[in-house]
Amino acid sequence: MRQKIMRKTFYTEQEYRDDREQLQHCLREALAMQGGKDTDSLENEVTLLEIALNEAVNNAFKYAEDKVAVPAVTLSMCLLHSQWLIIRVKDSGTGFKADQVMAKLACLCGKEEEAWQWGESGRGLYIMAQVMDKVRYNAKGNCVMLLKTLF
Amino acid sequence: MSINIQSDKPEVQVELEGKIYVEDAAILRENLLQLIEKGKTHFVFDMTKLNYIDSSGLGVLVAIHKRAVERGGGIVVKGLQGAVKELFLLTRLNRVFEII
Repeated sequence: MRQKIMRKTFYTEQEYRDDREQLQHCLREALAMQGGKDTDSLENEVTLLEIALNEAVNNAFKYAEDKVAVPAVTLSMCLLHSQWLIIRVKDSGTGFKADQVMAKLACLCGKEEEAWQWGESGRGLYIMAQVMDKVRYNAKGNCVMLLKTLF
Repeated sequence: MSINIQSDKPEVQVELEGKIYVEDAAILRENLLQLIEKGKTHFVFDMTKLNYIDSSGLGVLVAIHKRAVERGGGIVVKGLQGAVKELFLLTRLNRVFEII
């Protein structure tokens, strides 16, 4: 069973910022369903999920303006079988080679790892992949699905 | 977000509080780059009261650290806790900064 939590299209980053607190509340509600967690553990998990979500949205806004008249980012969140939290972030841009970037991040080592560690950018996708149980981009690279197993 | 910077001593004390979102990271970057330009090279970041930072904020810290290291200084991070501490470990920044 699919339970919709929210779906909204944002046309500016400010619109998204205005909703951030509400989104954090949605994430907390979803994670609280797990039960058995102390307040500190729950808050840490909520924060890490919020970071992963914001990374996806920040990336989306970065690419949404690519060759389009009206940039937009659509965010949807739902629970599947009360077991999985699924977040989708889609932007209006032409996408990027997400699979290549993800593959590179998955096997960082040696000098490449050191260069990445000292890099001033390029951590967003890595954080998403570390925090979530699954991160999948579509072929075009303008839509990402983040999945978190709750139970 | 609250940034409290004390730069009257050779070692700059930076206290970060609350949440550093992408828009705050830009402000933090501006403030810190100005100090680098003024010749400051040693920074101590107190993150005891920081409860959110993402890749944009981490990128600013690395940018300042790199510039400081080039000039013989660097960043020391203290007071990491909760999700912020976890994020530093996840992104392996514990290998970049001195963390106390």
